[in-house]
Amino acid sequence: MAGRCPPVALDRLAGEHSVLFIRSEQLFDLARRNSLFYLSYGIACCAIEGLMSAGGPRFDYDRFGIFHRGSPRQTDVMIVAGTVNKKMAPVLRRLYDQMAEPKWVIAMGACASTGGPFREYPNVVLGVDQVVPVDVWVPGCPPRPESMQYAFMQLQLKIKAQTRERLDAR
Amino acid sequence: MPASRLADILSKAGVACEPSDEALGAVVRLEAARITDALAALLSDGFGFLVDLFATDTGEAIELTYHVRSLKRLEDAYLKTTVTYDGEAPSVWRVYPAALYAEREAAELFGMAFPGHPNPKRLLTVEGTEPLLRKSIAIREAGEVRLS
Repeated sequence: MAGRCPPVALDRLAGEHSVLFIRSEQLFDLARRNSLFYLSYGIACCAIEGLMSAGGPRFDYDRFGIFHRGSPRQTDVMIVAGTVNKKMAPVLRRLYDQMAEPKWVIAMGACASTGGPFREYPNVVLGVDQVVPVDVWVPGCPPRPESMQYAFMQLQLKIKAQTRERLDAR
Repeated sequence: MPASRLADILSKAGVACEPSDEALGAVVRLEAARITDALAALLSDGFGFLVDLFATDTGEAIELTYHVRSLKRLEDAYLKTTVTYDGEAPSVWRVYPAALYAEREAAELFGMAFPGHPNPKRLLTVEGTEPLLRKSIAIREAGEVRLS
């Protein structure tokens, strides 16, 4: 279990009917990393794999607490699933700004990471890290839903590590 | 349907054209100023559906293709016209309102104009973008897109 960070029910963590002592911010981070709501920001074919197939019954991200929301106000993670061109970039930034802190970004697929097969075209942004700070890059064109599961696992590890860092800095 | 029948329809409406049967289908070529009259003649002949309106950069000029279809007779017709790079073709939206978006797209990506269009704004790109689909517009070079 250690290091892999699967979704943990408090009962399994501490035993039934037990009392759990935890720092409040650790509790918050535990809650955050086990309920990563993502923004349905599907702007290209990656959305079919990473948002629709992933949210559907076959892969069912809901069982990991990963669920889609339609509004940036209610989301923790933005999955940029597709090519971002220069007209879309300000929209992307605005949606990111509207998300409540703390927030994370997953650049899904070749297009969001580097511009992908369209990067020679002068209208395409060469990677969304030019617009928003990216936490996890996922390779693939498009990546399989399993890749997105792995990306979420990496993101959970990252949140865990951030908690550790904050505590160690005291 | 042979292109000569298209030419007959257009000549009855008083539009001079040059018919040819190509791999694409029945094509007539005409001058840009008469395109609205020609399409109005085709519309009243039963070609009720504008399938597509697109532009091509031939290297010398911009070729506009109007693809219309009669859904009743299952016939397709292609009207082609050539305009210069900074030239213009009249907007045909009063005949086929479906041309509104296609004309905006062609105008911004090829840099020519459709006078008479009620809303000649950009559709896909931001202000200041060059007409991207012209052959003279360079794409990014290999060194520019290589990941460091």
